[in-house]
This record gives sequence, C-alpha cells and structure tokens, in this order.
Amino acid sequence: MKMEILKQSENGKPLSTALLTLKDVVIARGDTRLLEQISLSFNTGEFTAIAGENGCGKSTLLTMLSGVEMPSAGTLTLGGKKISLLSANQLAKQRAVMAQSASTPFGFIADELLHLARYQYVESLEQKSRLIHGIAEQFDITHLLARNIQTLSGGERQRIFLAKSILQIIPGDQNESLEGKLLLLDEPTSALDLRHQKLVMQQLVALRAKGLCIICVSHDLNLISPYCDRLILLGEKQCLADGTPVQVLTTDMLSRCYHTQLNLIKNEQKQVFVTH
Amino acid sequence: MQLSSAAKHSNNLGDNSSDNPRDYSSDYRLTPVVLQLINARAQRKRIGMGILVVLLLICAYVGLTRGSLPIDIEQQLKYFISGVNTVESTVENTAANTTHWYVLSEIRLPRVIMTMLIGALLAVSGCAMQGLVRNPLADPGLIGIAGGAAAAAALSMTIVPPLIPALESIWVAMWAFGGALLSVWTVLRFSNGPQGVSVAALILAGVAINALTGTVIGAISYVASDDALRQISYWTMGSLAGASWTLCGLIALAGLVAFTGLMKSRNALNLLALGEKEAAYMGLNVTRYKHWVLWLVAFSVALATALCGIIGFVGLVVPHMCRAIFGVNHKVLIPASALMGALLLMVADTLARTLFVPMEIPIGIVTSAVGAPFFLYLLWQQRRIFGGGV
Repeated sequence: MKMEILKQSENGKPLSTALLTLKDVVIARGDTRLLEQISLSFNTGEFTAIAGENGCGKSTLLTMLSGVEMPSAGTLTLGGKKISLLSANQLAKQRAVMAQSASTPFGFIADELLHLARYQYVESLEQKSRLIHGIAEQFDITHLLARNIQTLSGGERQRIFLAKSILQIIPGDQNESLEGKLLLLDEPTSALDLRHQKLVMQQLVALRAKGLCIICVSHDLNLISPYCDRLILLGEKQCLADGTPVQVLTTDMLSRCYHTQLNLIKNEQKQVFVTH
Repeated sequence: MQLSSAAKHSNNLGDNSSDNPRDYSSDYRLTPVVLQLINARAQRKRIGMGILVVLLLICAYVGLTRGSLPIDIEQQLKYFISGVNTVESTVENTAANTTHWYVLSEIRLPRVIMTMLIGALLAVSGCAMQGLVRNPLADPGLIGIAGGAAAAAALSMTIVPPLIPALESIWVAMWAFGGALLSVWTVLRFSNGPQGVSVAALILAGVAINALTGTVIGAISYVASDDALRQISYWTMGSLAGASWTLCGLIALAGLVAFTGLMKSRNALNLLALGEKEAAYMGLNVTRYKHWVLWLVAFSVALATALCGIIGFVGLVVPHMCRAIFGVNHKVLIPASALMGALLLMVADTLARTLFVPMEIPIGIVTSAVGAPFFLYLLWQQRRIFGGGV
C-alpha cells in the first residue's frame, strides 16, 4: 500500500502536490472503531474511487474528509493547512460534498437550491444565473430548474444535488482551473439511468482534467473503474488496496474485501470488469 | 497515462460524437421556457404580496372605524386638519369630535398598529422556528416561551404581587418576559450537546418544560383566590386592549430588530432548512446561526407574550399558509409571513372587538377558534405530503 504512494511520487507526481492528506487517522462511530490508523494522500487532478463492504466506514471517512467532523485521532490537512483551522466559509469554497440520499423536508425549487450553492460568492445575479445554466446544461437538468425538488425522481434529484455541489466550488469564470478544489461524492450515481451514469462520469472526468480532486464512494466498480485514476478498497478496518483499478481489481483482493467469490473479465483495452 | 482514461474509454465504447454530453442536452434545450416559468413564479409572488398589502390596508381601515364607538375617519381627518373650526362647528359637534378624535388617536390607532406589529412579529418568529427545526409543524411555543411566560405571570399575580398596585400590568409583563426567557434558557441548556443544539432534544426539552410550567400554573390556580384565578385565565387567553403608543414603539423596535436580523440570515435559514449537515458542508457556521436565530425568536416572542398574553396559532398557521403560496425561500417567506401575520391578527382583533359589542372576546380565543379549524383544513388538503413523513 505504501509502495503505491511512493511509486506515484516517483512518476512525476511529487508528494508536495498532495491536496488532502490523512496521517494515522482513526475513525470511529460511537464505540465501534471503523478504520484504524490509515494514512492516505490525494492529489490535485486525481479521481479516486473508494469501495468496500456495507458499513466498513466509507461514508464516515467521507464526512471526516469534509472537515465537518473530526477524526478520533490523527491529523488531516487540506492544501497544507490543518483542516480544523479552516473556517466554515473558507472550507466551503474549497471543497464540496454530495451526501448520500440528499433531500430536503421543504419543497425548494431546483433553481433556488442551485442559487443557494453560491450564496457566499459576491457576484451579480446574472453571473450566478449564467453559471447555473452552464452547469445545468452539463448535467442535463435544465428542464428541471423550475420544478419543486420534492416532486422529482431520485435520479433527477441526484443530478441536481451533484450540480449543486459542483456549483459550490467552481470559480466565477468557467475556464479557470480547479486546482486546489476538492469534490467528495457519496454514491452519486446510485439512482441514475445508464445514459446519465455515463454523462455524469464524463463530466467528472472533464472536471478532473481541469485540476479538480474527486473522491467518490461507489459500489458500482464496473461503472467507475474505467474512469477513475485510483481505486481504494476498504476492509478489515484498513486500506486493503490502493492503486489503479487494474492493479487493485484481482480476484484475491475482491474475495478478501467482499467475502465472496467474484470473477473478472478483461477486455482488449486492459480494463477489468467484475462479474458473478 | 491515467489522465487519458476517458478518451480511452470513449474509443472503446462507441463513436465519439454521441459521447459529447452536449449532444444529449440539445433535446432539452428549453432554457427560455424554464426561464419563463421561473419569472412567472416571481411575478405571481409579487402580485401575492401586493394583494396582501392592499388587504392589510383595508383591514386597518375597517379596524379603525368599527368598534363600540363607530368613527367616521374622513370627518375626523377634516377635523384634524382644520382644527376646531369645522364648517358646521357647533358645541356638541366639537365635543363629539374631540371624543372621537381621542378614541381614534389614543385608543384605536395604537391598537391597530400594535396588533399588526404583534401579528407580524409572531408570524416571522414562527417562520424562523419552522425553518430552524425543519418541521412545518413547529411554533415558538415549542421551546417553552408561552409556558414559561404564563407560569411567571401567574406567580406575579398571586404569590409575588407588585409593591405598588398601580404598576401591576408592567409588573406582570416583566415577570412574563423573564419567565419566558428563563424557560428558553433551560430548554437550550438541555438541548446543547457537544455537537451543538440538537433539534430533537430541543423539542423534547420543550415538551418537558411546557409540562412543568403547566403544573406550576395548575398549582397556583388551585390555591389562588377567585379574582386572581379569573385574572390568570384572562391573561393566558391574550388581549391587545393594553395598547398604547409607548408599547407600539417598544414592539416596533423589537420587530425591526427581529425582522432585519432574520432577513439578514435568510440564506442561513434556507441552508438550515436543507439539514444541518448539508448547511455545514455549504459553509454555514451552524451552531452560531442556530443560537442567533433561537435567541432572536425567543426575545421577540417573549416580548409579545409579556405584553399581550398568549396568542396562539399565528406563529404556526401563518408561515404554513405562506409556504403554500409563496414557496419555501426565506427571502420571500419572511416578508410574506410578516404581512400575512399582521393581516390575520388584524382580522382576529377586529372580530374580537366587534362581534359582541360592547363586550370584547380575548384575542387568543379568536385566533384558536379560527386558526385550529383552518389548520385542520390545511392538513386535510396536504395529508398526502404529511403522510410522506415530514
């Protein structure tokens, strides 16, 4: 595991570009210790997928990475600064989170919700609308903007919340680089149809190319592994594997992680897919 | 090498042209239509606000003219502008005009203004409270304001009467205000954990405090004299009869502070309505804003309750109605609630004064009698929404 990080740093990605680092982090929920002493680093312009069994601490890890809850032990730094020292405001402009099963008890209009995402930016309403419409088009939600969130389907809502979290961190000028920004996603594609799964993945890759660091929890390894740069498997209270999807996805590793026998198919592009 | 995995992927899974996401969205390029919808909604809201203002003015006019002494406003204005020398000025006319003018300027006008201010204050507080706890069924009474005020008022009327009997109303108001704040403080004490104020604990602590204050009132009622008992029950039903220009000024000041404070935190309220975690993700200092909004609401409602007794249902029903008409964005919801609250309390108070002239019904009875059935009607209309688990 440590070898992987070392190798990456030799491959022209020095460790100093690490945007988010965890050092000896212990994560607990209640009395259960979910993850023991993990150390990881995530780089600018890197798309990382995190997978693992139900209840292994993926979502809790994501919450810790977001900085709104502190880990039980260990240090967490974002852009070289301890995350607990950043103000809520600074943090919100630097990292966005899309939580699992995002919904609201009050029926906001989609357009209002997206405006809220940029409430801390000082910019004209026109500029805000322009940004919102740009993102809305990218995620195919333009036709939903005037709808009440509560009346939307799960997949439509998911796309709106994804667009909302991206709007929270993008700079006013869409061509500006996204270096230093962090996007944390918790199963963003779980309710999407095939077309929108593909659309969302392509948009994420496009954002990654602009320098955005994406960390995405997902169970859909077949969907995410062709797109992501790095796959982390969590299990046995630690990082079981960390590397490119092809390196990580082996039958041994999968059976160790998921406690069941799974088969792999390789295509001519050397991409690996999991079957039963 | 890894950066090109998307390109690799698209080469792999078919032709490049269909992989461009913009091709898909061209089917849905309905931006003008969507914009139209959004603008139409904004237009509807503006019209709704206009209607509310007009209705409020009409009600204020009716409230000023009707009562145990009907007053002709036009005549009074003429009298005011031209002094005593009205065209058909006779001795009786002048005397009548003076009486009418006194009733209008010193009794009815302050009462109408205070009614509107209290209605707006209660409604805005209810609106903030519901947004804060993310439950459209919450009202400021939830955190023990009404209970604490009533218990302290009952105490001040029986066990600790004022030293100077003439100052009784001020004495009772001070006790009620203190009692309300004390119970809010207690509720907050119990709901404040290491993770900040927990909404569930807030509601439960409020229920407990309300039960406790109910017991205090019950015990006092049991030992109180008949006169004091009558006074206590009259107080808990609320009344705006004590209106004066001084109180108007006080309420206007509190109202201004509460309204501007809540309008300034409208985005915070919107974010809190999305959920506390979501609000924290989006950069809100959740604990700070929760305390700020809670205390703002507590002070406003405690003041209103101390001066007018318990006026129920305005803080509960009005934001609910406004949400149905104006949507959930607090930018519109707060001013709309203020207008609607002023309007409703104005109607209720005019009814309370005029239904059984010269007798006056306590305002709390009118608001509950009108508010409760209306609220049931709203629930009936929206039971599908509430069935969905609010």
